[in-house]
Amino acid sequence: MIETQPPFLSEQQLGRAPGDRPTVAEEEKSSGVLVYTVGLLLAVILTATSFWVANTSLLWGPGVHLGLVVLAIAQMGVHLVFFLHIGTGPDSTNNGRSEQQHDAASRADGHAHAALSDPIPDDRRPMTPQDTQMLQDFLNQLTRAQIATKDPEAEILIARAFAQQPDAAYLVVQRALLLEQALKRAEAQIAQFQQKSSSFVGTRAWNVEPRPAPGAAPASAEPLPPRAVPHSPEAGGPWSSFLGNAAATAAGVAGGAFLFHGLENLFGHGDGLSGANAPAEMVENVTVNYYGGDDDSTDLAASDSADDALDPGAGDSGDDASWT
Amino acid sequence: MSTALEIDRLRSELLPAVSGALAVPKRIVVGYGFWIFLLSDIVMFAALFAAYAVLVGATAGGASGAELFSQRNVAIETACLLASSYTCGLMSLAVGSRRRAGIYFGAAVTFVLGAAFLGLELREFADMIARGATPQSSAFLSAFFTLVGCHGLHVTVGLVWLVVMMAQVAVMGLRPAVERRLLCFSLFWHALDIIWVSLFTVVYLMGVRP
Repeated sequence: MIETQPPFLSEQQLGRAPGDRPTVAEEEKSSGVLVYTVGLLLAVILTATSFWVANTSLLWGPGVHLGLVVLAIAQMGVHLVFFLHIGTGPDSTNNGRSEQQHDAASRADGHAHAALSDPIPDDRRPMTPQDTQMLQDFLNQLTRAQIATKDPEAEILIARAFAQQPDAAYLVVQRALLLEQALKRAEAQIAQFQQKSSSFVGTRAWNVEPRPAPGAAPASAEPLPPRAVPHSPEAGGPWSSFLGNAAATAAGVAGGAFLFHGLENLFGHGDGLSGANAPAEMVENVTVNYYGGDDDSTDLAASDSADDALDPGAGDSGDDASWT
Repeated sequence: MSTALEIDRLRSELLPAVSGALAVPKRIVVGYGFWIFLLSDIVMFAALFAAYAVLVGATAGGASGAELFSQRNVAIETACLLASSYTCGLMSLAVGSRRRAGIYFGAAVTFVLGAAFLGLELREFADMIARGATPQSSAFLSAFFTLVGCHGLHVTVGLVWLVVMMAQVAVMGLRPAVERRLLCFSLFWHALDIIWVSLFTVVYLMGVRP
């Protein structure tokens, strides 16, 4: 499905157990046979030394027991390191992430966007702190989510798919995060459009900055025009009609209307327009912006991630509202 | 009604998979859990070692370790177990690179060496019992047979496990569950070798010293 796996959530990041099978990279780095052979040689040497120490008369008698203990502990260490692979590597110490974060910090700038646009072949790239934070936020929301009513048929279908695909949860979370990123990008672009068009038309003072973080939506309560009157000359009419037309052209008449509706919801919430088109049951919360507009903005994301688009239907904003 | 039943059935199948995928891969969880088991096993052996160390002098007038133990036998046993640990490592490498022939070969050599160890140990036990040094004859021998016998029992279980795993590889193929079990087996086998290191040191090498 998703060919170029984004860097976050790769299995390596979630930790490894000591003695776990080596990753491909590790196998290339140091031949496993060599590790075991070195371990065997060391163990043989230590064992032979133990037997010699126990039988020789060259050593001071009372020191022999201590020597045997030291040799035994050394050999246990050899077993642990060379056979059970308990070392100082990131798999054993469990704090290797800080190093990875350190080297990721240099390229962390704009990384969240880069993950979507450029297919980077290195799918072992570690998660950036931003990725981790985003994932953690998402998972927190997910675990707190409650669903009032579920469609039984949909539940069966979903459960079947999940049963067939063992990585379903991973893929769904990954997908959701990708879509969220796509949404942010689209929103930033559209905000730029807003700025351009407004400075071009020069009508109102509502041109907002391109928001860096969508959570920090400005609370400017300038009401945007309702979608029924997209050509209204005042109140930012030009941009909305422009966008609405473009979307309609791109996605076809029905799909375009759908998309436009979703986008308008999106901006409505982002810019503080709450009442006009929002579904009544939607909770007024910044997170709802994303899940609420999710269904419709899928088209935007699909053009970026360039693989199978999720079905953008089923405007289930009722369910989404429960994700807060 | 059937819908509800199916949902329940699917949910029960689903829950472990979903929770596992959300948290960490199952292989990590299994490996971690098996490490905890190994550590608990080592705690048990520590108790047996402590008992042996306390009772080593309590020979009740019977034979002591220095008279009973054959260092040559112990050296061969140690070599067998060490070599089997090595071949077990090669087997897990073959599992990692999915070479069936390597897996079977490594497992066969591991099994033969482990069986040789077990045979030598049983022969030693039989020899001692034939000389009248039975577990009942002294506290020292009770502790000895408990400690060494417990390790031998672990080796026996390991050999049975290895045979079962090879049957699973042959029948079920290298599916993830089988790979996880092979991982656990190699951890188990290496841990047995570690216990044997302290065992031959404490029991045999220190035992033969006056």
